[in-house]
Amino acid sequence: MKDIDQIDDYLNGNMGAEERQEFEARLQNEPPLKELLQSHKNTLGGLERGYLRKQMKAGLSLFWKSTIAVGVIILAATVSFLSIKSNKVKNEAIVTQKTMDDTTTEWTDSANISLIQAQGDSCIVFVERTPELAVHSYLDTPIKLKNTQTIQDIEALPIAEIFQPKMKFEGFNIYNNRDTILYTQNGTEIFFPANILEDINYVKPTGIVEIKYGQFNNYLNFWEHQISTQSDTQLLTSGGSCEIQAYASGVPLQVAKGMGYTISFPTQQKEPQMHTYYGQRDSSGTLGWIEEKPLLSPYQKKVSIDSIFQKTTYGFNAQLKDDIYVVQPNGTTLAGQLSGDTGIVNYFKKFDSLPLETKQYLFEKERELKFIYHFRDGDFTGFDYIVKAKNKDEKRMEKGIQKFARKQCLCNLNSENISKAQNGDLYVNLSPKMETQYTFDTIVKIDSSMGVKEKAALQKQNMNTIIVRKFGFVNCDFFNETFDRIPMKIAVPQSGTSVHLFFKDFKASMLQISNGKELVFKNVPLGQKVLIVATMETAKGLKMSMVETVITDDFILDSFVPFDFEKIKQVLEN
Amino acid sequence: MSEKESISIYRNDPAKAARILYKKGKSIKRWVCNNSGNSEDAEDVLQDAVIAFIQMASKPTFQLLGEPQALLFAIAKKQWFYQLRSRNSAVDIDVQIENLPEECNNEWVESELKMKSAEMALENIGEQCKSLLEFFYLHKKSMDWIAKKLEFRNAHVAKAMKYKCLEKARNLINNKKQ
Repeated sequence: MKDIDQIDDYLNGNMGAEERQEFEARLQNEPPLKELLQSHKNTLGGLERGYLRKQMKAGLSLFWKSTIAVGVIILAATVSFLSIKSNKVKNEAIVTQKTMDDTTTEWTDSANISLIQAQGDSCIVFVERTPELAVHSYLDTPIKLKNTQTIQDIEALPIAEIFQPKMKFEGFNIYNNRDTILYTQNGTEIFFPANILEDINYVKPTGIVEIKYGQFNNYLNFWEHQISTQSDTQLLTSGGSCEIQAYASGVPLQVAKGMGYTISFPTQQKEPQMHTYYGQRDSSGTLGWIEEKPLLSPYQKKVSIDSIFQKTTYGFNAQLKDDIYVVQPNGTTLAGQLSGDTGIVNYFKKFDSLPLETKQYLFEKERELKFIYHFRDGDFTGFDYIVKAKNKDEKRMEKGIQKFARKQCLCNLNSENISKAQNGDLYVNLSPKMETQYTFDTIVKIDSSMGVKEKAALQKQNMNTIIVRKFGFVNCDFFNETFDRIPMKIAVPQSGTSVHLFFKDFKASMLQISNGKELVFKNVPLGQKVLIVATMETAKGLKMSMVETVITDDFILDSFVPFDFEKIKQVLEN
Repeated sequence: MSEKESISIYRNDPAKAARILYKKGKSIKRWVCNNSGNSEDAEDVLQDAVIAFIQMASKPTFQLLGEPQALLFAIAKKQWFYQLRSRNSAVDIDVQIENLPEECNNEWVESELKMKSAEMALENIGEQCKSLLEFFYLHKKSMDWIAKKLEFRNAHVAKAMKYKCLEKARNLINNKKQ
């Protein structure tokens, strides 16, 4: 018996105890045999892998072919309906066999809407839709073909996974060790403070860092990429959305803990309440948004409103060893903040309106600042800060700034923040040494290489600015509370209908895929204009409906016409 | 589908399991693309993870403790971090991955890579040899059956052919290594 046969018996457990023992002893004493065993295991592993890959590719080849040799089985009828949901849904396809050729294993119908793969007289059914709205399905178990065959239980895949519209990325090369401002083609400004990037091992890249940036520019992008501006069921008004990634030598980077970069989207109307949201796809492939939660540093502490009110004055010290500039989550520049999450962010708004030279004068010096918060009868009344002056000029500046601070920094805790505090959702930053001292939450450096004029020009631009602490899908949004909200029912002809609502007047969109003949959009703005774009799969092909209406009541969506991507493009691109 | 049923599919019907898992693992492709990979890498990682999953499931000790997708994702992550490491030494391959069984350590990834290399080498072994080895080792067919199917004179000839094919396979794999 050859060694290889013995090895096969050994691996298959076909040896008796004694024989096995003997063989194992040989393995110990005969290195070439041991080597042969290892090499044989590799061969069998490689063989199995090749076989499994072939099986997978049998499916894949059909998944991705847009055209395929016209073959023999013609699918006369097609799927009665298809839901673009990832959940398994009951579906039916009827295939009709017209002719058969033993050698052909792949077929398509003339309309190129359905594909079928056969093995002998069995087949696995794949269904492929138009390039604009592709849906693929297949059965795991081959079925015996009859002249007319009804195939049930087809699983449709999420549209976003199949369609995969390509994002147009812009690329930038930057260095991590210095402040950088990038301008994208759309005029969006991205500011990376020095040393903000690191890899998953917290190592800061020393060479070139590649930034990839793609912006969702119009409603067509939202439709193609299955994006809403919903966070949970709430409707957000978008000030700009993008996908952004950073790499060093191909390795993805992350934002260092506690740091943030800013993205400023150009806008015609600056909206001070903008917040940062991160995108996440749900099981149906729809991209929804999750509001950024403030990071809790070791020095952050939950506080109750009572504990804030017990004392009348709070303060904190900040060491300024470099040029510093404080940017609030809503984009306003500040000297300091109580917390990123309290919403008390506008109290030093006018800081922006100070001449740039004044700001730089103050902040580009190495100074220790003392911040003091004031409360009166439980109400936050403002804060001021003290700079230790070193010479006459600075002394003047110090006074001016203090005066300014006292005058402008009046602000009340609003009811929303009080309720936040009562629910235990209010955070303050505490320095490690003194519990009553606050530290900065966000400090970013300003690019010291920029000239004063350039900086001033930047300030003048109308931009929605957010601080971002992650890479991926990023959205600059706010809850638009101007309108009354109602739940709106939309009746649709069939299950699996995808309905996308676009509120062009306030840059918002909602998206749902129906489970039955009705879907409900919660929190729809009453009395507002809406463009409804719906698509559904029918036995006669893909259908669409585009209706513009004003939201007053429930709506019946019944005017469906054959799908026309150009029409959708025309309406949504502008 | 019960857990028992699904494990039995992974064990007994690898072809079907491969198709099911491939479908379940679509999100892996997106993850790879979001983590320094291009679409080709993503396809590769998903396929490799599916294969590794099925090979793990074929072991009698295999227990599926959570959702198959979670295990598939964990395997893919481990393999992708390893590949990234080969491109850039700064990547940590010991990073903690949720749902990853203990046996999927670095040695395991190394052996997976060896088998992948063997798989690529075997692409050049020729159709007849490949069919013969697949019938014998994967479908557990007898030499008589194989002789008839592949039109060898008898089982002895088929067996002799098997030795030749194995030798050819070893040579291809060794040459690939060099």
